[in-house]
Amino acid sequence: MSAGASRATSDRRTLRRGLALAPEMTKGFGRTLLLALVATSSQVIIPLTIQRAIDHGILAPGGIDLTVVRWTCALAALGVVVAGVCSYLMNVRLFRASEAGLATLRRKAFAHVHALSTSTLNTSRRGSMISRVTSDVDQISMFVQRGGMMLIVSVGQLLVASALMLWYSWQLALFVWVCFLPLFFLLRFFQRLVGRAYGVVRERVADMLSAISESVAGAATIRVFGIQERTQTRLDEAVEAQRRAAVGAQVRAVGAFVSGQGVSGVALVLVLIAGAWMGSTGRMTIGEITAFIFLTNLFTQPVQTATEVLNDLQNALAGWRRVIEVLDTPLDVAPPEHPVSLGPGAQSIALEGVDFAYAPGDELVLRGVEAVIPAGRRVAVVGETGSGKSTLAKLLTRLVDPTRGVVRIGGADLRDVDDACLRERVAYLPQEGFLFSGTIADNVRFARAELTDAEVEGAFAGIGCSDWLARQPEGVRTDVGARGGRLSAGERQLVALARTYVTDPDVLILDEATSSVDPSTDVAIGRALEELMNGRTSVVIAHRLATAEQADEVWVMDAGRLVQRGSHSELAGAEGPYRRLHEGWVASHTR
Amino acid sequence: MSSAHLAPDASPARVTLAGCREQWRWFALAVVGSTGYGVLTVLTATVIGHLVSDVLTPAVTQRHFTGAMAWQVGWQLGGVVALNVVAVIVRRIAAGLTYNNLIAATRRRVTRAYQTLPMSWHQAHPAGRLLSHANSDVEQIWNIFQPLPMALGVAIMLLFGFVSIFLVDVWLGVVALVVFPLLVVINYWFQVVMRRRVEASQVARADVSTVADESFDGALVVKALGRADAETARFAQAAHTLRDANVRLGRTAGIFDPLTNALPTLGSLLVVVVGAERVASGAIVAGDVVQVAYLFSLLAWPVRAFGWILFSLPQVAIGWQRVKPILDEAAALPPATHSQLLPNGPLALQARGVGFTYAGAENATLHDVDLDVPAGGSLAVVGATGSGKSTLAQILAGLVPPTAGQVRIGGVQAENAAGLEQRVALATQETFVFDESTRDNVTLGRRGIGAGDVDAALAVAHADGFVAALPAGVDEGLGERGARLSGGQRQRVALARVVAGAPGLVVLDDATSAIDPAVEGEILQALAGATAGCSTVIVAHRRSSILMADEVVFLDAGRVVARGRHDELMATSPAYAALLSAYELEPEGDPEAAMTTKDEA
Repeated sequence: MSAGASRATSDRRTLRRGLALAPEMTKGFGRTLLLALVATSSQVIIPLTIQRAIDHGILAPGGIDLTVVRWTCALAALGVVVAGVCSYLMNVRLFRASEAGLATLRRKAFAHVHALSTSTLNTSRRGSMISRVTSDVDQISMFVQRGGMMLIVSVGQLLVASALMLWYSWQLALFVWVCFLPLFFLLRFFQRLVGRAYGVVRERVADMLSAISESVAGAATIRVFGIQERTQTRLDEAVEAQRRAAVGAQVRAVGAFVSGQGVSGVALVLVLIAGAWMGSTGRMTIGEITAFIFLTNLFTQPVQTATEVLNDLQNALAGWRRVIEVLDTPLDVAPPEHPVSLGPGAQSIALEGVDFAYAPGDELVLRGVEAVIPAGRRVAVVGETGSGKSTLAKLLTRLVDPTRGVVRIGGADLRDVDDACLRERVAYLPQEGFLFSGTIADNVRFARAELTDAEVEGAFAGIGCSDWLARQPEGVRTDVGARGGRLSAGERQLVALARTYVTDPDVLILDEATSSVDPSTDVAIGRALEELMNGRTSVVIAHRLATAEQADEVWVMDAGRLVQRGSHSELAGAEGPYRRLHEGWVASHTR
Repeated sequence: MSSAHLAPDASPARVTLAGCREQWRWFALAVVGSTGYGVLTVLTATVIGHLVSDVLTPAVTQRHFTGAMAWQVGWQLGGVVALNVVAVIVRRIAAGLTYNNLIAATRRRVTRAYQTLPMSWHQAHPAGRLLSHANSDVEQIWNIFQPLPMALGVAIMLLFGFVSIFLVDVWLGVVALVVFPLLVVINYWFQVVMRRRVEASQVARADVSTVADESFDGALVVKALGRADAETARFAQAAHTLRDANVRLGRTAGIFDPLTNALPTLGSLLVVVVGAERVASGAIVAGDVVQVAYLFSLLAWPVRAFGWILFSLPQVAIGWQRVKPILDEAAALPPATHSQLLPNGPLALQARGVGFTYAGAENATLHDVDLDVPAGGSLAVVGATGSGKSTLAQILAGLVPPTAGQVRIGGVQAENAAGLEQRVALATQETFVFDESTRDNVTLGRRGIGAGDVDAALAVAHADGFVAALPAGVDEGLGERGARLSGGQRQRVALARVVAGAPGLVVLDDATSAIDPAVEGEILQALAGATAGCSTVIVAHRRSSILMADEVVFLDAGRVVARGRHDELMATSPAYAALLSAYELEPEGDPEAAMTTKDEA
């Protein structure tokens, strides 16, 4: 019981916090409830009218009285219309308020996700972040659209029907309640069964989809090795497993549906017998007993609905909880309380005893890095895979904060620098060359929205890639496809480089930014970048010899430590890791 | 199988009928259950009407109630309700089986078609779309079978209900004839309008999803360029569009609910008024009025099934038009003529006048390519990005037939060769790793590859180390698309797959691109040893790989522009020399001072 109680309190907390985050949802809720009350009362109009029409009209003691019947029915018709209008207004208000609130919730969660650091928002959690602002909020929305409305109407219907029953005969009302109580538990039981069964269906559907996806995405491999039959056997198995699970769930759902039907049938029989007996003792009229028959029918559907909606409510609350979790994730790269701006011109960079781990307690990725780059100097960073080069680049651009130590830019602690200023002055270009769907120009304009097509072309000239651009079917207006999928990895890097080029930064951090382009293009870009880097501070994670060679200084990273520093000629002449690294390159490229 | 013979543009009714025929046993049972449900629901009201007249009225008016009267209520009403429960169970289970069996059968056919259709067809159809054809489109075709049995039952219910109302009284029958058709029309109208609203909402929801997906995907770029606020504004706009679409949807639903509630209620009131007049004129009794009014309340809800049917009909056609052409294309494939056996041992490769144009493309990707690899020989294909190397590799491996010229493998035209898949292996830059163990990924269920062969192949590909480090070694699952491995590790598993099959011809298309240079050299050496007896074609950038080939062809814009040994080409082809020496020709460049750190992840 305590587990149930604690869940209830946590549900209440979720609801309170959720509503606080989306205040539009509860605005004018009182009026909506009032409308709901009027709307649901229409359900008892028929039993009430029939009772009055029979007792005081058709079977009136003094013979049939048609006037009573007509007036009763006319009044009832008016009541039906008024209730209908109230029901409409209630629906609209409910939708408007909830959707406005959910849009706010989405926006807040979205903004918060972007404020999280890149180490929190790593690739493995990216998918789940997307579902926080999409399907999790949708779940709340669907609950409000379907369940929320039904829950209000159903509970209202139960209350109004019960009130009328008590008015006619408290004994018989009690009797109906006793009949329906087991249904509530029966339905809870079946719904748990059905819920589990649909959980299995979802798993089977996921299995089937991944089997189909493999058979389609792996079409080349399947044909190369001639394993079509093996693949088809698996597909058939996955399809069959899904079918079995779906049929199984449907059979269980039949149980839930039929138990409602059965219980209401039993209740109807018992009400009729008990009613007839009470009528024979003069405690109830024919009209009242007939009304009871109709009222009993009003019970079945709400009890069925209410139990179903309770499950939906759990799902919606779970979705809500997940969204709140995101919003409550502390920002590990917090905005500064007293932001400072950077002075004009090139900036110096300093690393003072910097350690870094991606999560507290994790192994250190960087250890005791200590170095200074005077303003306007060019540094090339080299090292093996996993030596910490990319992490260093992220620290310099404050995509992550050091675990220990300080990173300074222009003398200021990076953690105190105004974020907008930092992003404007410090350009960072990662290896992946990520592009958004749209044209080449759209992607370059992502950095500076006001650029004309000609200026975008100019950017490509600036990075030495005019030739490449000229080969694109529609120039800067060429569509790059989703995630730039219509371009090769190397081409994506070119566009990303042009995008960084137009930001005209004072500090440039390039992380193997041209690693996928072909050698001759790479060399052309290298020459063009020479010009760009003049008079700016730059840190380039190097993947080819010329970069290191032409830098003012080379840093060699090994297992998270800065193990060698010096000019190319100094390091190439000395024993050490630098020499070993470059021999590998020579062996594969220039033998 | 009958449904397979219908044209892609067949009418929804014909497709539905084909479905009925295909699953006729279960469908017939569902119809039987549904008929029972329809008849028994009307009988419930009739029985209640009779019990009001025969039991309730005398009990109240004569103050007399006996056990026999209670028993009459129990067996009559209880009996009808119990039978109805049975009918509903039969209807729902049989309908569920009909529906799910139809979906499973069509899905099997579609996925079989995917397996049969050639690589060129797959290249022309995006994988995502194929997935949704096999998934949601197939469901869309047969969705109508969810409400269909119920709707047939409701039709019988209405018919039977009308008859029973008319039997009670003609005037009450007229009321029913006005109310229920109107209810059907409102239901249909609602479904039509709602479909537009739901679609608009789905489109808006997809937009929200797309923006979030793309924006979070490019989170690094967004942050690096300081665009978080602009992105939030873009997302808020999408979220507001969705909000408005949902509110519109809610408004439509908000009209419908009260309307469908009010109409039968007003109908029942009319029944009471008209019924009272008829009682006054002595035509009927009070129990009759109760019966008809009760029937109205029972019929109001099931009538919705007609709305569902009318709604589902157009969807049948939409789903069918998407799925049927796939089945037709697979059925129209010419029968395979893999009749000629390949010789044992290494396979010679010969291409004559090979050209290739992608479907729908204006320009050819390959022109008039001639090349020869003697049995056991090796050939390197070199060219800049976009020169057609990968297309050529697929054609040489027999995966895709050329659109001009021909390829002969082991002296047999590739299209006619029997068991080509067992003798020719292709490994590409983009590997495909299945969601299964390393062992299964290497054997791929091919006969004659034992545990020893797997271990040996993994050793050649230098994959034995990291595979052994996995908790269950070679039997450890590699995750969806091999997610547990890095790019370089996936390429090594794919290479082991090639080696394990002991092929006569190997085509490697930049298959080691993600592997660290030092390891790459060792792998290529081991590979050369392991495949010593077989012919090799290697597409490569790195000089170390190219040097291992007997001959090099240099590809430019889809044509072979130079061929010969590497040192010959360096001397005779300036373009070739330029491509391979770019890093050496840099200003002030000292080739000895070169280095790289290729990222393996």
